[in-house]
Amino acid sequence: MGNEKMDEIEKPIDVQEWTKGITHYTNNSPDLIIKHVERDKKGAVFLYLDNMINHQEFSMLLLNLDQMKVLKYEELEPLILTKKISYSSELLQTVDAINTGAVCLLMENETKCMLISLSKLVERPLSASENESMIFGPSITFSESISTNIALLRKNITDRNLCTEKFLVGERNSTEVRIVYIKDIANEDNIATMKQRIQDLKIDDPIDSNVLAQLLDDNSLSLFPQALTTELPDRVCYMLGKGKIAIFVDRSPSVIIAPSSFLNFFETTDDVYTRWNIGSFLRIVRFIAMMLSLLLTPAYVAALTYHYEIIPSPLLLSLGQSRASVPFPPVLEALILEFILELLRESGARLPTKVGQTMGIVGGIVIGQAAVDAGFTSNILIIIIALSALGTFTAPSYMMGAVIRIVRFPLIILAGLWGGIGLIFGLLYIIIHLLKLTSFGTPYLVPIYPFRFSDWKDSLFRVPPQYAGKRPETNRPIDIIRYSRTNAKQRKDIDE
Amino acid sequence: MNVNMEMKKQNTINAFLVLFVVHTAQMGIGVAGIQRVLYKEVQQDAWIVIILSGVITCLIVWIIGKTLSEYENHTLFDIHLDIYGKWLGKFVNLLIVLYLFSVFLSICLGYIEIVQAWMFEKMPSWLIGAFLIILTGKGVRSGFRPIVGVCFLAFLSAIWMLFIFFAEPLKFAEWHYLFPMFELTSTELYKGMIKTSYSLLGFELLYFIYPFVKEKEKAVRFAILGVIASIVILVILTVIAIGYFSGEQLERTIWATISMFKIVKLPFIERFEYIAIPVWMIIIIPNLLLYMWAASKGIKISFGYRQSYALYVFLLLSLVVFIFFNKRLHINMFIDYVGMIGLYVCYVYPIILYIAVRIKKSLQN
Repeated sequence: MGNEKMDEIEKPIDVQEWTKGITHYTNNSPDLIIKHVERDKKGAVFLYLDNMINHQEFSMLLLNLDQMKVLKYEELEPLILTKKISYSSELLQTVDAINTGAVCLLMENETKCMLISLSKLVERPLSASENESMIFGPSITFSESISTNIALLRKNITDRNLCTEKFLVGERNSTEVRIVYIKDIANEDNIATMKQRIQDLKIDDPIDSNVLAQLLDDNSLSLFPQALTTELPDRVCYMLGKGKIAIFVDRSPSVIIAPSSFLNFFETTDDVYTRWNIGSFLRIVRFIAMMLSLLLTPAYVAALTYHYEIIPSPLLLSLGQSRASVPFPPVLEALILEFILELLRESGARLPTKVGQTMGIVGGIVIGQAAVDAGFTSNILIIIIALSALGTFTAPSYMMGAVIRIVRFPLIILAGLWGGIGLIFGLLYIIIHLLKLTSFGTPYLVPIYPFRFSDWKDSLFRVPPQYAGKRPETNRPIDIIRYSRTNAKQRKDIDE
Repeated sequence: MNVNMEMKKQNTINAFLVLFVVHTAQMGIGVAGIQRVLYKEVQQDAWIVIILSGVITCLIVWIIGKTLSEYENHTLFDIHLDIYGKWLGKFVNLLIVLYLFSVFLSICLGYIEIVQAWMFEKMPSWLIGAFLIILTGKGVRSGFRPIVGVCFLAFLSAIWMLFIFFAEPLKFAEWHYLFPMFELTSTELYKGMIKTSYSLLGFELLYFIYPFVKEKEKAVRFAILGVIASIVILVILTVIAIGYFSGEQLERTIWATISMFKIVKLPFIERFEYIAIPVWMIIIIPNLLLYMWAASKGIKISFGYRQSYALYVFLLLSLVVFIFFNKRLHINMFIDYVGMIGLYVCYVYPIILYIAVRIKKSLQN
């Protein structure tokens, strides 16, 4: 047995047979180019897919070969300085390499073939962010190529402890996935959990990082996203510095950040770039906006259906006037209007930008004004719905905004059916659910519960720099000190 | 018999959270109407009685802590199995579980009564009960740490209501209603203290959460702080109520705390009790979760059934109770009985148990 195996490895490959084999396994691809080169009666064959390789580099290589009259792999290798070279003695592996843009060189009397990676990068130029808009800070976003993305990250983080571990995910459509973290900041348990989950994945194609994030979820039945995805390199850096872990996926411009807590979805780097007091204010505005958009419509429905006593009489009068011609009960009215709003939003997202402006006209004038004039809805409800829609759009993560919008529907129905009791029931259900939820083993509501007051300065609000010397404890970073607090700001006496 | 449980690290809680657990367990239906009950017995000196029974409660909590510190990771159920032996221990545990379950029921029934009296006269009991059951099921299934989280968040999201009393009813309070002070006789004091103790029930849950606390030495200290917090709130509510209502009025007002919400007036909200009563669900949810969690845990420890099965059976039973048990008179009797039993379980039994544990330990040595 052992002898045979040895023979197989040692046996020189048959160039003819391999050429046939490669042609067969690339499914007779019309792009496959087979180039015979003969030198001193010794045959060499180049095989590659025409549209996958960088022709300029390839012709340089051929030119070099011609001049040097190389006959052996060992002699050839020093000529190709910058490109990745590997050897393979297995046919299928070779075919995979050719498919991803390698040039295969077969030589007679050799035991393996040489694979020179000359793949052409297929990508768009880096552009400004469209989906996550920011006021300050760099506006560059990640693109669809993982190597560019990693390069972009390396530009941002020069820390020599930056680790980018490579994994291949996908049985059929194997895709490169990188786990990125800063070695002495990120917690080892978190990294281990992440690696374990990625290695345990059994899927044919991860498609996109958003899909991968769903596959790695703790609780896939939950409405709430358990991993943040972002396209902004500076946001990734900011999170890595807090001790989080990023996952890059090839073909996807968005990067997964985990473990993410509920409050992470409301943080932007904008808060950090502005001064601490303005940053805190913006964050608090966002939380209030979220609460408003969650509660305002259900509260309106509950109050008008059952508890109109709680509305002071002057206000009740104007409410009654605006509702006088509306034929529906408040629940139905609210549900219809919320649904119209969702329609507007969704069609706005699908429309090509050129016709996008019509949406404003349709939404603003036709539906808004005409619905009131027709006695379809009341003015006040339109104000409330518009307010709560605005509130959901303040969430920096589109995912979280969508969740808040969806959660509103059951709350409206509960409020319409059972008034305040139904509304509180719904809220408590959500709170209990959030308390149970975890993101990669870390509680979702941290730092509110488990209570870590020192982390509030990193999530609920911001503090002046001299008090922000520590990284958040939540991610259990190894190196917790960002900078020394005393050095950050020397205390001075009066007139010194 | 070595019944020391191994605690998983992800199930343990910080000691300071015991404060919130004990405090939220004590705040419940009782707070809504303690003033009338007390006023009937001791008139304007009610607040003194509350402070005195608070002192006794702190003592009992200290004794409970002493008992528990004799063991390492024991709940009350494990201690029973250890002291009374297998069969008697199981029987006593069953009684305790029944007690916990009936407290659960009485809280639910009390809340249902409030909702029906104030907000939805026609809403069927089983429907309100079903809300509470769904929340309890969801919460207890989540496990111990999320339950403590509910206690913590419930405290944060309900404590603001206290400030409304300072804002509105306090303006109308007549302080001379509180005088003359110290007019108690000893029988009045005794009766008053018994009545107060109903509202302070809940601290006995320390028996069940103790093994889950990380720093055990501090647990009792924080539990006592929790009791003190409850007493402060009770005293505030009682003093304001005595000042706000006249004596006769207070004797006719069943839920004085909620009645005081009626006069709150903000530019966009009036009749604050319509907000207070739904929010009261947030106040009672920690009680429901803790009692149901302890009851189902007791079944698991003593009889070895899965805790989730025990939970489902209890929840199903309570739904049956809410459907068929809705004579007002019977419900009030039931709640009174549960209070009475609670008094013995929480104030008398811990002393007996402590003595038993001491005897057992000294015999072993």
